[in-house]
Parts: sequence; structure tokens; C-alpha cells
Amino acid sequence: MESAITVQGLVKRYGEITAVDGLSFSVGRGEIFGLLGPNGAGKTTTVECLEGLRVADAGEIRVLGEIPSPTNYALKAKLGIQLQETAFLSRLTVEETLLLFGRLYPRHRDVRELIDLVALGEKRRSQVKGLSGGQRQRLAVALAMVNDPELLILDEPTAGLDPQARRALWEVILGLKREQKTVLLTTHYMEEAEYLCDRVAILDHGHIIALGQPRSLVGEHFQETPVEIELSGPAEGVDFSRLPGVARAVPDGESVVLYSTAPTDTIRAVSRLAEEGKLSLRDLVLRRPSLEDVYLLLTGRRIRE
Amino acid sequence: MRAYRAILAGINRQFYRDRMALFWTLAFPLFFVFIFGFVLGGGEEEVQLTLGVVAPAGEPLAAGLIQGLRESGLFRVFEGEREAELAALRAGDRDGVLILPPGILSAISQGEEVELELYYDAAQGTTSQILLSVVGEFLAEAERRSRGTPKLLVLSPQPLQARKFRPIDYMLPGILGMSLMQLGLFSVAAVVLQWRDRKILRRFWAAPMPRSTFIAAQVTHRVGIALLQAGLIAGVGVLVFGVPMLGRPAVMAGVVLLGALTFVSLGYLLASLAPSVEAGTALVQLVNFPMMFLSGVFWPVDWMPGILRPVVYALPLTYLGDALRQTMVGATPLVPLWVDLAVLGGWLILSALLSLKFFRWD
Ligand SMILES: Nc1ncnc2c1ncn2[C@@H]1O[C@H](COP(=O)(O)OP(=O)(O)O)[C@@H](O)[C@H]1O
Ligand SMILES: [Mg+2]
Repeated sequence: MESAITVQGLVKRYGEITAVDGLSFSVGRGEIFGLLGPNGAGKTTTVECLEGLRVADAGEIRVLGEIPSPTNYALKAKLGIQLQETAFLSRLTVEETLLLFGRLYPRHRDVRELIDLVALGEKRRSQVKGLSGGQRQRLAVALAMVNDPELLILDEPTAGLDPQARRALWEVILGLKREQKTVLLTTHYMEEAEYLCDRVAILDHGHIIALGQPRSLVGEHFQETPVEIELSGPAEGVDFSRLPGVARAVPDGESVVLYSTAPTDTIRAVSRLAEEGKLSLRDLVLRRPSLEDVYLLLTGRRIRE
Repeated sequence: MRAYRAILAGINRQFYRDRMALFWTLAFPLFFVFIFGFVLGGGEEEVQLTLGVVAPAGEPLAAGLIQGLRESGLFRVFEGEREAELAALRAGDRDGVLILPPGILSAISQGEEVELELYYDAAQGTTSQILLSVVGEFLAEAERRSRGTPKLLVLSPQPLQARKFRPIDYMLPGILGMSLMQLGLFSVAAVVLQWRDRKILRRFWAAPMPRSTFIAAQVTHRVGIALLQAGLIAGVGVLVFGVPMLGRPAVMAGVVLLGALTFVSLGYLLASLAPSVEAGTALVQLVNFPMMFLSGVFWPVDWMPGILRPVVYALPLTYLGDALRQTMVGATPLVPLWVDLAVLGGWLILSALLSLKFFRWD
């Protein structure tokens, strides 16, 4: 099937900074694709090149078969865009805002239905300036849907939402998939990418460091189970990577993550060390490996912070 | 067209729901009008009437009459050619012009009536009444003294359209021009820069619409406000301070419209050129200041030292003020009206083109 988006060797510089450094990926029609990475990784720059709001310095981009540019209005008409940083006319109501933007497109969805979809029914007639951050965010996502687009590009759609609103928005996005829409979203929430995305590209400093289905990315990198131990003091003379079962030990601030093929043996060894007073243990967690671990493994850093 | 209407409706709403902005935009120039109107008032009417006298050469009686008019202390008397004196009356420099026909002496010695035309400014009701009666009295008195049989010299009143300028009459079109300028510079530049800064413009950018649609809607909105404001200023001028509106309404509205468009475009240009809100504010002030004080808003441009003249004649507000003064209150033109309109049109086209070129969404 023809791809909704193809990107070949995308490069974008801001003066000295190379924000995006040779990115290549494609997004199939009907797919939910995630760009995952910490702040400054180049996610916004990438999606804005796809939207035609920024002009790439190098690389080939096709979005719905078109070359994006600031004046490619035919393409813009088919895109649903939620910008990371945006604001609306503060004295228009939620309904007026959606109607205004709806009228900028060849056709638009029923505005009331859309308002209910993002759970802003109570605020339909409230002015934008009276909305909370989370409500504005939901309005921004509703705006991305107002023209009933084939392809939605959402830049951190759930930023600033409380967990409940985030879950609700996830369902809205999954609903789009059921309508055969293609969604490209950016996020720095691992669990969001795992829950929503068919495939993700993990970005770091403008490079893709991993690309694939969340489950298989994890499986590819981990036969081991992460055992995360939090220390309250230095553990001198302890070589974590030589404990039983441990394949890799990645220090992370006051914590150490031990990737173990035999987690029970590893845990037993750690508690023995604690009893012997060789390390002071504050906490120990055994988890299923996640994208967070993939990122930590590949960069030595956590994605948040 | 649908996009244009939708944006226009949206920004209109945004504006009129912001009561503070609405109030300040519309009321601020009116404060100026009231302050100048009350402080300067209508200006004190001169106690002495200025009278132009046109006398035929070699008429003995004429010389005597003029002598008498001078000595009466009722008038400041000017002698001159008919056309020159009438022009002075039209320009508001005379309260009246008395025309002495040739052959007065021979006519009255034969007992014939002689008609003396007295031109006056039709718009100056009270002054003209005083003038007519004072000149009439004077002539009657002169006749009585010389011959004892009055009523051969007959005054023939000739109303003329002319203006005697009070400071407020001069000032009002200037204030109107200034407020059109400031509406363009401040409101437009401030709004565009703020919307850019707050990333409101970016959202419009993502929509499938050329920038010209957005700019056209913004300009329409601002020009609409400008016309409203102009109507208010002119209304207060006429109703509260009795400033006469002599021009044809369509012509006056046309000049206001051209001025509004010019300065709204200039505001857009400044906003497009400025990299930030702060820079934009500074830029606007840099343009506002010389215009306010050098364009003849508060005092005529010929008071300006010669060294500043080139600046004066480069500023668009000089021409808008002149065009408004000419068309509204019939003031003496600085340059012909078509020159005013041409210069304004030039500024309009230039700034519109440049702002389309340099406009940035973020
Ligand atoms: N307009 C800009 N001018 C200069 N540098 C920028 C600009 N936008 C982004 N950057 C830089 O480019 C890099 C990538 O930023 P961005 O694409 O916003 O990343 P993300 O969306 O993943 O947080 C960062 O180092 C950021 O500071
Ligand atoms: Mg970003």
C-alpha cells in the first residue's frame, strides 16, 4: 500500500544547531506512528517540515503524495494539524473557534459532535481565555480534526493533560484509526507510545536510534528483565555487572538498572549485599521491559527530565 | 471568500468583546478633541472687524469714506483689488469686503441711489449681522453729516462661502488624521506582533489559505474601526464645537478611507519588519513621534524651521492632514488635493507591497 508519509534523509539546521540530522522513515496509510524522544530531540522540527511550516535544508519528503511547502494549500487542506505551541483568539468561544477554522477548509465536520468527542461539551459557549491548559489542549486536538483530514499530525497531543484526560484522548485517537485515518504523533511519554502506536521511531539529537513496533523493539533489545534498584548511598567495590544473571548494568543517577536473565538470582544477590552492608538499598523494583528501557539502553539516559 | 469572511467575523468579535480595547480605541482621540476644544475653545472672536475695501481709482468720495472707516475705530481696514480682497475673505482673513462702485459722487449729487456691495462670510452668522449693521450705520451717519439727506447709499449684502478659522477648526482634521495614523501604527502593529508572539498566527498559517486572505480580513477590520472612529471625531466636532463640515460627504469619506488604508498598511509593514514585540513597539514610536509633531497636526507646517521641511514633506501624515483640512473645513491648501491623494496612494501601495513581502507568521 502507498505510504501516507515518506521521509528520506531529512536535515534541518538552525544556524549552528542541526536539529534534524538525516531522518528517514515512512508512515503507512491507516497507521498510528509515533515520534518518541526527549525535549530537543527534533520532533517538532520534523513534523513542521512535514506540515510545510518549515522548509527542510535537505532531504525528500512526500506527504499524501505531495511535496509540503508553505503555499501547498491543497496539501494543507488534507492535513489535520495540532501545533505544539499555539493559541487562539482569546475572546471567541470554543464553538466559534472551531467554526472559524472549519470555514478555512473546503469542508468541515459537525462542530458540536467534535466538541463532545473531546469532552468540551460544558465549555461549548465559554470563551477560550477561560479554559484550563488541558481544555485548551483538547481544543487544539479538536481543531486538528475539524476538516475531517486524511492525515493528522499531532505534536505532543497529551502534553499538560491529567491522566484521566490523557486516557480519554487516547481513545479519541484510537477512534481515528477505526475511521481509517493516518496519525503521526510525537510524545515523550513511553507508555503513550506503547499504548497507541503501531510503530515508533525513537529520536535522539536529530537521529533515529530505533524504529519499529513497540513490542518488537523491546523484544529485540531485551531478553532480560530490568531490575531497578535505588540506593541511598554509594556502593563502592560492587561490580553490578558481575552479579548472577546480570547481562548489563546501567547506572542512572542514584539508581542502577540491572538487566537480568535470571531475575530471582539477581534479586537474591542484591539483598545479600544489602544485608552484608556493602550497599544501602532504598527500593527495588522488578518490571517488564519497556521502550523506556530501550531508550536508556541506547543512550544511557532516561527520556524524561 | 468564505475564509475571508470567517476571519473577519472572528477578529471583529475578538475586538468588540475586549471592552477595554474598544473603549480606548474609540475614546482616546475624542479626549484630544475635547481637550483642544475646551482649552482653545472657539478662540476669542476679534473685537475689531476686519474690512476689505475695494475703491475705484480717482474717486474723491471713496478716499473720504475709507478715511472715515479707519477713524471710526470700528474696523481694521484693508484696501485692495476686488479679487484679492474676496480671496482674503474666502480664506477667512476678512470679516467683510465693501465694494465702492465708480461715480458715487456724481450719482448722489444727482439724487440717485448708489448700491454698495458688502461681501461677508455666510457661515459666520453673528459676525456678519454685526458687520452689516455697523457698516450700514456708518454709511448712514456719513451721509447725514455730509448732506443731511440720508438713504442714497444702499448696502447690498453679498453672502459668500468663506471660513474664518478658529483653532479648533484647524485642529479637528489634524486630530482626525493623527488618530487614523495611530490606529494604523499602534493597533495594527501591536495586534499583529502580539498574535505572532503568542503563536496565534501560526495556527492560521497551518490552514490552507494564502496570507493575503488573512491580511485582507485584518485590514478590513481595522479600516472599519477607523471609519467608525472618524465618524465619532467628526460628529463631536460638529455637534459639540460647531466645526463646520463644508466638503462633500463622499469626498471626505474617501479621504478618510485612503488615510486609514495607508496607515493600516504602514502598521503592517512595521509589524512585518520587527523581529519582536519590543522591537516593534520601539519602531512604531520612532515613526509616530516625528509624524505627530512635524505633520502640522498641532500647528501649521510653515511654522517649522526650514531645515525640517524635507522631513515634513516626506511624511504621509502631512498630506492626510492637508487633505482633511481642505476637504472638511475648506482650509487653504498646502498642496493641491490631488497631490495629497497621490502621495498617500504612493505610501499605501509601497507599504502594502512591502508588508506582503515581509509578513511573517512566526
Ligand atoms: N526556531 C528555532 N531556532 C533555533 N533553534 C531551534 C528552533 N526550534 C528548535 N530549535 C532547536 O532545535 C532542536 C530541536 O528542537 P525541537 O524540534 O523543538 O525538538 P522537540 O520537539 O523534540 O522538543 C533543539 O535543540 C531546539 O533548541
Ligand atoms: Mg516539540
